[in-house]
Formats: sequence, C-alpha cells, structure tokens
Amino acid sequence: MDGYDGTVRLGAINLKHDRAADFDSATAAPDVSVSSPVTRQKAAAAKQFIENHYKNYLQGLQDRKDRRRALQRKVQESQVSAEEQEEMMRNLERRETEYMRLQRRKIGIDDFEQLTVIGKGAFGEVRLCRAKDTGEIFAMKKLKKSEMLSRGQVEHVRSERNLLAEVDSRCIVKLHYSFQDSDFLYLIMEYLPGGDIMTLLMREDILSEDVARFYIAESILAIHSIHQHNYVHRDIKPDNLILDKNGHLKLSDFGLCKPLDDKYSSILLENDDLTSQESTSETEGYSVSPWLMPKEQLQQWKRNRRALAYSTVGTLDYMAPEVLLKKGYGIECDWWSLGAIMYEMLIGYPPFCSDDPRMACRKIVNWKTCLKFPDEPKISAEAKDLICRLLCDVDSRLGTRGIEEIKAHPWFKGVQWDMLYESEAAYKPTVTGDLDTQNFEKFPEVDGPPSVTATVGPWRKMLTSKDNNFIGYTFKKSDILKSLESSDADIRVNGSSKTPSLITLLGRIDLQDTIIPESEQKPEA
Amino acid sequence: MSLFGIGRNQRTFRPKKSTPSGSKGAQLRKHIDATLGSGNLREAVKLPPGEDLNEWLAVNTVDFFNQVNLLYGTLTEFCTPENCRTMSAGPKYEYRWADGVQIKKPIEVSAPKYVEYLMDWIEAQLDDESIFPQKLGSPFPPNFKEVVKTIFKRLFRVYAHIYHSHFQKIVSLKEEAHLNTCFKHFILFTCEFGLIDKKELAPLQELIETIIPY
Repeated sequence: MDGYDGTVRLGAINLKHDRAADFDSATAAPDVSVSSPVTRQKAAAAKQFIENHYKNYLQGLQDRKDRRRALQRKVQESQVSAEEQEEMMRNLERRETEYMRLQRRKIGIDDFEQLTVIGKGAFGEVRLCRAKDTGEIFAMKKLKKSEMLSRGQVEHVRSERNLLAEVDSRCIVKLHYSFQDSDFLYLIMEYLPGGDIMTLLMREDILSEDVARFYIAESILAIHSIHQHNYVHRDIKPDNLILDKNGHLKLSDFGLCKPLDDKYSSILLENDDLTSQESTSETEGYSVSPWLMPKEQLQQWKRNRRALAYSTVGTLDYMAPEVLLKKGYGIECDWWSLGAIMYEMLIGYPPFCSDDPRMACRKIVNWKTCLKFPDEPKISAEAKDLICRLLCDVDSRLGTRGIEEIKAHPWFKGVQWDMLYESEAAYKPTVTGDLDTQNFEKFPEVDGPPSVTATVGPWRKMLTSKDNNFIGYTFKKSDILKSLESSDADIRVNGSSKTPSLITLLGRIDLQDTIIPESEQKPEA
Repeated sequence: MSLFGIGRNQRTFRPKKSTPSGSKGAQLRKHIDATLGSGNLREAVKLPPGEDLNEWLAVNTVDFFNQVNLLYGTLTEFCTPENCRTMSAGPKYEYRWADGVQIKKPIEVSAPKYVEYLMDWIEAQLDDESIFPQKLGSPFPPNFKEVVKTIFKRLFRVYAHIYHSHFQKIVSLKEEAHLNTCFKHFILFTCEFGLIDKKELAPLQELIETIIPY
C-alpha cells in the first residue's frame, strides 16, 4: 500500500478517456504517486464504464416507458376490441422481455459463422459473417489487440466503439455487437454490400454533377449526424463512405473520432516540416497540380491509393490543414474533407494528391497557392464556388456556422434534403443476394498455420485484469422496433384482419421519419 | 442438505466482539454524499409495467456483478493478502468463504482470495443456463430468486469491505461518486425486492440509513 515507491514508468500507456475533465483531474490528483499507472488506468476505465452504464440504463428505461405510452395512446384511438387491445399490450410486453434477456446474453465469436474477407489491413480484417441463431448477415471487424497496443491505437478503438454505440442513425453504419477475447476485439456491424465511394471513383473516374450532388448531400447529412453528438470525425475520406444495397450512403470507420472536448493529439507530421517550406513556392514539384503530373504517375497514385486505404497511415489527402498543423480544430475540419472529396468526384483526383504523403501535407497546408482547377473536365461555376468555400480558412468555411449554410448553397438547388434517403439513389450498385461481395476487393484466403484458439473465458477476466485497456468494450444492440415487425404474424393469427399491426400503429409515431421502405427482395443468385 | 449445502451451524458471517470505531463512520460521511447525479434511481429500480420479475432480477444482477467487479478491480494493488488478511468489514465483521460444493465448511481466507472465490462462483451461476437462461423461451428455475438473494448477499460483502478498508483509496482515485452511485442503486434495488436480510446489512448500517431513511 504505502510501500509503493511512487516511481512512474516512463512511456507507460497513457489512456485518455473521453472526458477531458476526468483526464485533468486524474493527472492532478494529489495522491498521484500513491497508486500505480495501471491502477489509475483501471480506475479511469471503471469510472467511464459506470458513467456510460447509468446513462444508457436510465435512457433505456425512459425509452421503454415512451414505447409503452405511445402504444397505449394509439390503441385507445384505434377501433379495436378490449380483448385485442390487451393482446397488443401483451405482445409489446413480450418483446420488451425478450429484449431484456438479449441484453445479458453473452455474445462471442462462436455465435458467428465467418465468411468472405472483404477488407484487410494493419490492425486486422473485415469479414462477412452470419449469426448462427438467426442467419442474419453482418460485417465483422476484427482487431488484433497486440497491434492496437503497440501502435497506440487503444484510444481510437474506444472512440469507434463509443460512437457507434451512441449514435443511432440511418446515415451511420450500424453497430450490433462488440466483444473481445484474449487476442482480438470484434465489432459486428451492418453489412453494406454496395462497396465504398473510393471503389466507385476508381471505376468511374469522375461522376456527373447530379450523381456527385446526391452523394455530397447524403454525406452532409451523415457528417451532421455525428456532429450532433459532439463528435468530430477528422478523417472523412471516400473509403469511409459506404453504400448499402440500394446505393444510399453511410458513414463508417470512426477510429479517429474524438469528442469535441478531447485534448488535441496527433501522430501526424511535425509543424516544422510543413511550415518551413511555406516560402519556397518555387520548389520543383511543389506546385504541380494533379492534372499536370505525368499520366503514369497518376495511375501509380491510384494503385497506391487502395493499398494506403488498408495501411496504418491511410491517406492524408483529405485531411484539413488545422488537423495536420495540430492546431485546435472543431467540426469544421470534416467539411474541408468533404470539399476535397467533392473535388475528386468532379475532377477525378483529390486537389492535393501526391505520391509523397509529406508533399501532400505541404500542399494542404499551403492550399492558398496549391488549390487549382484544370480546364478539363468542365464543372459548373456553382460547383467550383462550393468547393472553394469548403477548402478555405476555418473562419470563412461553409458549415462553421451550421449545416444550413452549406445546404443553402446554389449547387444544392433542388435537393430535397428530408427525402434523400427515401428517394432512389443516384447510383445503384450491382448486388446479387445477401452474400454478394463483388463490390469489394478480393482477398485470398491465406490459410496460415492454424493459430492457437483465442481464449474466450472467463468473461470476468475479460472484463478486468490484464485487458484493462479494453474495459467496457462489450456492447449489444437489439432493434426492438425491428422485432416488433415480426409480431405482425402473431396479431394476424389472433385477431381479425382489420386489427392494426403494432408496426402500423408505432409507425405513425416513430417510424415514418426513420424507416426506409424496403425494396423488393432480390432472389438469391 | 440445503441446496447450497450451508447447514444451520455453519455460518459464513460471524460478528466479532469489539467496539466499532467512531472515526470510521466520520470518514465515511465525509465523502458519502458524492454521487453521479444519476437521475431518479428510486424509480429506476421498480419493476417496469408488464415485465417479468425474474427477467428484471436477472438483468440487474448481471449489471451489479459487473460494477462490483470493476470497482474492486481498481483496488487489487492495495487489497492484498498481506494488507487484508481476512475478508473483513470493519473491526466487527469478518466473512469466511464456503460455496457448499467445492468448499463445504467455511474457511478463513484473505480478502482478495475471498473476492476471487466469490466472483468465480457468481460467474458460474450467471453462466449456468439452468439458472440464468439466455436462450429466448427458456424458463427460470423455481428457486431463481433464492439464487439471486445469495448473490446479492455476497456482493454486499464486497461493498462492505471496500467501504471499511479501502475508501480512502477510492477517494484518492476520484471514484467515490461512482462507488456511491453503484452502492445506492444496489441498496435501493435490494430493498425494493427484499433480497438481503436486514442483519446482513449491519456493517454499513449508517451508510444505508442515508439512502433509505426508516
């Protein structure tokens, strides 16, 4: 106890959790030398877990109360018999009970059948999988713990899990479960078979303004949905914009997401390297615009682009200057990224791309000199104006004073913002059946030497002990509204054909603005 | 033999004969009011309308287990066999471990050993499909509430040990609001469903009276 020598190991993993205040108080604790770094780390994680728990617990109870009250109100207004009313209430109660049981069910790797690999990178892989009990198809993101720790990615992992668990929006890829074993962290997410915008751009080279307008507009709604939860993405890029089977866009991959009140940190290039070149605009290759690069060089950039998407570094081509310079930044940095993506959609290349990541960074930081437009392909004056209003200083950047100023830009004239996700998408991906992965790159199944099976239990040890870096990682999301749909059959069996279904009743209150009508099911190939 | 093998004369809970320290209570009161401001926990513990009682007990049992696990886990550096030779709750109370199966007669063990036995035992109950069914449609056993009561009685002992032996460490780690909130919720839930006998709550009586005035 008091015998601890008070020595703090240099280079110890510094777990920065989501609340800056807690972080500050932790470092300012008067008894800081009395406990070890591991103990303080465990305490910080435990505190966050408990805070999250009570937030979710109380919100869950409130949501449940709201669902019950809403159904009661609608049942009373409907023309059904007392018996049928009671039956509908009992159905809701049964669903709530089932949901509650699911909340304490342990989810693990054995509950899923692993299928095709659709993504592979430094930290792990993304794979199609099927839930053994329901047959439902998901994307499983599997992250190697040892890589997370050695590359300082613990905080990124936590950020992604926390955001996905917190934000429930049709613009964001849905997280269904997260869990861990001794070697890996797992995120079980919605599978979006349409591929990503990066793949679309590589195939199409440029998009028409109508197609680009549609996807930039949907991107705006997606980015706004995480901003509303006080998260900044910081790394919006075409790889993170994924299409569902109907071609609608969802935002994914939140490894760099940080709550707005977090302290700034970055592993990006140092200030000096970026600013020291600022006055040497004559440097050879420095001011070369993408379309003036040799064609072969651009093709090489595209080939490298896909490899970068799966690497540790990724690509910095879409990152805002204030992020690169490690200045303070806010949600505005995401609008810059959107401007760079829009440029690429219409011109064919990002505005500041380069084979050399450091050169790309220099171009971004010196955007005033380096942002240029080629004579071909032709783009409208409005499109050019919008790009210039997104790729500019924070103070004058559109979006800094709210999303409405972006939506109001002339280039978006005619966009029905509240109908985007209900309308037909500008591009319809080819998807054949639930297991189709044709819109993703092919990855060979490398059957390496069979590794020792990761240890799953005991769960308590997973919750605490050596894995305190990943405390509170487990998450289960059950879509109770979705399960209400399946109660239609029950109602029909027990009641008259005129009985309003639960989904119909609830739909009038909750579902109209959230559920996208399902298109007809495509038959399996 | 009873279901858990605990005979009438084999008590795991034995009052020690000594005078309680007044300063201990004073120390507790100093930080006892801090909570997370977690809304209305008194309402939160009530059985939701239309909900199955066993299901409600089950999901909350898992939550309380997780919370105690995490809170105690932050103290392992201090709660050692040397510092906590027995599972004590102040000078007056001491717990000995027996689960009725592996260890039929209560044995005196250090606090960390007791907690390890306890947590492993609880986890075995939670993982047992015949007690805490996970599959939809599987029923709870007729004695389910009795199992829950035993779990709660034993979880309380961890809280009692933490408050009496390690509260200053909790304060130095800035965890007292979290500990107090979890404990308050635990006690409110316990009283709502009558899960722990009053005499078992004696080690933290002063604290409990601030949560549930009689």
